[in-house]
Amino acid sequence: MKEKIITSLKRATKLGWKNFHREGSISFVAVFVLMVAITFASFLFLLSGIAEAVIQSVEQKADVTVDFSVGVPEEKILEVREEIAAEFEVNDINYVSREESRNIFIERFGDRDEVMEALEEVGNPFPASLNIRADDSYVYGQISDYLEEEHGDLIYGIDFANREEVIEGIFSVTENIRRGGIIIGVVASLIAILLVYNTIRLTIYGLREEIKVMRLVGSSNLFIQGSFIIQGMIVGITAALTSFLVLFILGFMIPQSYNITLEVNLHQYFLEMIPMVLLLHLAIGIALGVFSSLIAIGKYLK
Amino acid sequence: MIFFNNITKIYPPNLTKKENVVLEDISFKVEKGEFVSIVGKSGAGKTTLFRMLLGEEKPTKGDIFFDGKDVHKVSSREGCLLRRRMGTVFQDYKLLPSKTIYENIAYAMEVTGASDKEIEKCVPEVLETVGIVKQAMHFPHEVSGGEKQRAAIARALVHEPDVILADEPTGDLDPYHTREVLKILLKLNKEGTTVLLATHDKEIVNDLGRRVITLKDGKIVSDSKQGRFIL
Repeated sequence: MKEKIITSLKRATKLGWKNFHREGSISFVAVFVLMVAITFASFLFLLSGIAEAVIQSVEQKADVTVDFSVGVPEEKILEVREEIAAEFEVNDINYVSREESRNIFIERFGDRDEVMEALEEVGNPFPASLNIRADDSYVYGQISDYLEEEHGDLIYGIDFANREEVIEGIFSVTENIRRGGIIIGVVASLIAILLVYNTIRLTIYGLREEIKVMRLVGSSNLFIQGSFIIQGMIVGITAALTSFLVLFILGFMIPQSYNITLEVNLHQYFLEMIPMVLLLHLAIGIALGVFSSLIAIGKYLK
Repeated sequence: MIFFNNITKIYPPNLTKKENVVLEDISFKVEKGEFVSIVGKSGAGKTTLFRMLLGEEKPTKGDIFFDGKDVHKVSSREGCLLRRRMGTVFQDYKLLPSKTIYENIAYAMEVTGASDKEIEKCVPEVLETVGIVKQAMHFPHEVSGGEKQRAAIARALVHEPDVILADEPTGDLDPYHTREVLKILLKLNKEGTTVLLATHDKEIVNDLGRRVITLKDGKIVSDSKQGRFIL
């Protein structure tokens, strides 16, 4: 029994492979359409990754700075920092001392003599501050309210009120981009799946007479299905590898120094994603090839 | 062995045609080892009878039995097994175009689960029997009509079926190849294979001098042991 199953599997594989290379033009069309669909899906996948990285990089630019009154001891500010970290969902809270603030200012304006002279006159006018970054814009409002209520006496100013609209705008835009990306991804994937399914359906429609003959000589449905599934699998793997090659070549054509933002280097990002893209290609290729064959052939085996 | 029991086949009306009664209340038996010619004009329902026996089409009324089993009430698996006991030969050969003659014949054995050794032994033998050894590695489009028909016969007999269903097997052949094909069918019948031959060729039927079932307007008008062409 086991031997018969192995023989059938071997024969279905051989048959699938022979059909694939003998029906060259049909196989070429199927591979081409599947390759376009896979490349398209990969672009969507890579684009969503790039978009996410860009979105995160933009979101990180949105922050809130809490300036403490001159004279508030460093220990007290660090205590407040601990409180905020414990109470709210924040990504990052940086303490910037008065001295550090002054150094940052000097770094930025050190080449302007009149500014440096003025600074010399006034000493160190800069307050110590906490720089806060969070994932959601509403957290900033909560922190701002909390600090004004609990530690209003220590605080010189919070720059949330005058930046509130900008911060909320950034988060709203990035959220819309994410949602839009998902919708475009789903619609585009559906179109690609339908395109591949119809191509394979037409291919199998062209072979319906052959399927009838197979049945006439006594082929079981499983045997016929097996050979077409394997043919679909070969189409899928060929399309996946071709598509990967195309992306691979395109990826290496991207200049190494090309940065979308300071944090996102496209070339580097592509190199990191290569194994994932290869796996994705093979998974999509095989799944589309096999399932399309299976559904398309079912009609002729009733 | 084969029993058509009160078979009626009606194709429903469609946009271009009215209801079409192809066969009406047809009953006959075929015993093991018989050579039966089913005669009738084109459209008399000869091919429909074969298709129903193969389970490709269902009768509107009646039952068809093969070795006591109703071919339309068996499971899909049993249906395959029954079809493997019937070898089919058609006027249009129905060879798989993407396979060589050798592969077409071997395929009929592969699906029965025959071992590679058996295939390697039997296929050359049947190629020899039907006289197309030299054409074995050609594709169907590379050989003549007569050679294609021989290949189809070779495919039909390679797994030693109990019955050969030959539907107008000489329809596209010249007189020389027609005689060759008939010789092969008679030889197989002599060896014990039941043969059902559908034809509208008067000469063939009269030369054979075997049982003839004549169909006209969807009904059997004659069934004689040593029949002649009467239409």
